[in-house]
Amino acid sequence: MHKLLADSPGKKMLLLGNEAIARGAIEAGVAFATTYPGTPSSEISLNLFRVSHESDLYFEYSTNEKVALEVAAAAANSGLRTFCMMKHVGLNVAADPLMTLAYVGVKGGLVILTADDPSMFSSQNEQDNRYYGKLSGLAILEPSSVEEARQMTAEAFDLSEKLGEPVILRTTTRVNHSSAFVELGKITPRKIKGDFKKDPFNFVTVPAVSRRLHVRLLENWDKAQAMAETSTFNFTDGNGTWGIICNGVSYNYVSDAVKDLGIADKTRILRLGFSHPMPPNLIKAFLNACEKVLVAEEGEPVMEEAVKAFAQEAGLTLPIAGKGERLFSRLYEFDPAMVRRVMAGYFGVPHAPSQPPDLSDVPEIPQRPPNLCAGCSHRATYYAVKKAAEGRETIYPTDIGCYTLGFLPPLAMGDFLICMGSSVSTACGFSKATDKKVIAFIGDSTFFHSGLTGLVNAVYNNHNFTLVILDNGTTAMTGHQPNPGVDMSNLNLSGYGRISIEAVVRAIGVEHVTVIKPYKVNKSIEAVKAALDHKGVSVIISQEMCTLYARSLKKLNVRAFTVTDKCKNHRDCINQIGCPAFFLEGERVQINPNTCVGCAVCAQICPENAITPVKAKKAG
Amino acid sequence: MQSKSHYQIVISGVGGQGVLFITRLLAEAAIEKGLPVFTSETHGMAQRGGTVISHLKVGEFASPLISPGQADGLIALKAESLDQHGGYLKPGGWAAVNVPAPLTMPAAATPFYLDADRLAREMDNPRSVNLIMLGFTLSSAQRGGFGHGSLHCSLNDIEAVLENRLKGKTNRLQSSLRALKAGADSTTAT
Repeated sequence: MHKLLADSPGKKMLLLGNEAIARGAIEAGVAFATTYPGTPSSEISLNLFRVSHESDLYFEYSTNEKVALEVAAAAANSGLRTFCMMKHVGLNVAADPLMTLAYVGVKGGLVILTADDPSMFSSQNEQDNRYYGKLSGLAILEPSSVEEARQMTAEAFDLSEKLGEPVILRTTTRVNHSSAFVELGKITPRKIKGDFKKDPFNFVTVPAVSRRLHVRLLENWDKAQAMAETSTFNFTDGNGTWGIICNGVSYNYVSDAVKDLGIADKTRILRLGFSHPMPPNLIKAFLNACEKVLVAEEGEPVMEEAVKAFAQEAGLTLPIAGKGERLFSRLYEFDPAMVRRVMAGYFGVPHAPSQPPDLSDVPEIPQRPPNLCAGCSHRATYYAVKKAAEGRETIYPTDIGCYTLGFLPPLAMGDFLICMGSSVSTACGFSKATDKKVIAFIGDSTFFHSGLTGLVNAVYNNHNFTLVILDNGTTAMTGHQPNPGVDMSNLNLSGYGRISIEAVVRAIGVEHVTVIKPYKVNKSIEAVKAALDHKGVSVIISQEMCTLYARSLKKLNVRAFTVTDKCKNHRDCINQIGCPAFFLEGERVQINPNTCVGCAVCAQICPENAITPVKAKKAG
Repeated sequence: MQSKSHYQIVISGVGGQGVLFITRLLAEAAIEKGLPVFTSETHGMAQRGGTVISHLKVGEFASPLISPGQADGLIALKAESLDQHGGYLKPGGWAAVNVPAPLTMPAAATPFYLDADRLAREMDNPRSVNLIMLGFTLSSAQRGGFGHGSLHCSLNDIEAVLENRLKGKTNRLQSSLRALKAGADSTTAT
């Protein structure tokens, strides 16, 4: 049995934040779950996916976040408790349904999880999705710890049903990817079949209906604000006059700093867990008891601005600060030392930061950025395209996935990236605006997510570029989730359809479509050359299963290669493809037999044919 | 017997080495002893061969992250972690480092070196560097090298956690225990 299905209230378990969130949803009796994977949210859905194989929970990987939220909106309006999960930028994709779903509301509890990523550990930006609460008029809950993440997720479903509105559960990487002891709660039985009652004058958002629904949304907002005033998720610690208002993970840093600085008798902390709408009376009363206030929040000054406005309403003139010089930054995530330093400075407490050891003697070692794996098929595809495009002036729009890492030298295949699907549409723009050869890269999952519409645009508007679809048979970067092109029988799952990328591309009307096997280097180069010569939209589909995925499916037949004495140190292998299985021993190139998977791409480009398979060990 | 109730340990290496796995073992050992525990980890993109760091805090803490200059110890599955993450160590903190030959270390820290890569190769189990280093760390602590009571758990505790986790997976359990022991039987290079 999946550990998150254990029906043993009171039991304590070491859980990852994301497991605790999945558990909270299960405890709330979630019946329907949708997602598009994205770090730092991915393990929530991965766990619910597995739970769905052992229970009557309905779970789906939707094609993108907009689809996920729309599927969820219907389930919730059929009365089912529904959970829709995504990373922060995913909510941009789902913003269209979000804004009007807030007008329509829900019948069954709908919790929308947005996993924000301050510091951008795995993201293209660090936008603060608390603004989506303001923009949509929906309530936001923000947990500070792993245990609270479980509890808040469960209670978010109740809150959603009380308000008749979706509730946004906002986490940050530090909560998603911390582990701690969690005490399990009771599991509410799932209600798995819903019903939809026709009510077009409340569900069909033509202008006349929406004008009325907006009134209701504002009434619900007032209701939510009244609930925030008394929510147990909003509480104060301490009775001092130095006020600190904080949310999420910042609360922990503030608590440790108060202890470390020995100022517990002077401080008063207001932790806002039900953080939108902000509770005006609670905050005004708090301000009244303080002589100065510091707002500790990662990201944008969302609370700070609201608190200052409340102070103005209450006629209070105490100093209130948050973001600014020598205060908190709008950049990156917080850490305990930084919060301690800012608090000490603001409240004028003597503070000697602990001295890290002097490391000036330790030899400096180059950074180790993430890299395509040894034998990654993307490396082979990039090499083929690079060779095929030699002599041309090129622009390489790229997209989001493992293959983005191909932008690093020595491959250096990636010139422009803004968001999921942007490779295809920006290729349209670059090819019209410049005379350069535009070659765009997109992965299989990202192609289904939001590459399709760009490709339709390209054919319709008669653009001129080559799109390379890197089809490795899985959504690799986020942990090998399936996508509409994946063969689900590999996962021993039945009852799924499978969409052929080639058939879709041909159906869209692309005239020049070629499927390549990227480990066949010369054939691939020739195929790409032909595609580049085509005037109009051409598509190369490069098919080879992700090696990590193949290994996990036990479909990887490893036969490691080795560098023989024939090597004359041309070093094309190292300088052109940069596979991490290679290393230098003195001046000689070597291959690590434990990381080499035997893709043989290096063997095909070695001018001396010096790279050959390792001979099998003789018996005995 | 424990001489204190707070332990802050940084574990770092490269994606694929098993940093998260040994972090988990140390955390579960803490739980078995009824100690509060936090870990904070690197997932996602960085795991594609990039640097992976996890913070383990045992005891009554609120924050998941360790501050620079406050870690009791560092387990470095790659020598370069010392340069990158040595700054977390408190003065006199210990560092267990996987490296072929001893490095220059800041005088303020106490280093323990083991060529775990070589040991793993000799055992024909190149993916066991993490457990070798964990065994080495635990035995070095038990020998008193890190100062009295410097870790929240012992080699036996971790063996028990492994036996519990890998119940029914006899081969994996045996090779894991072998790796742990190989590390534990090694002494620091000088």
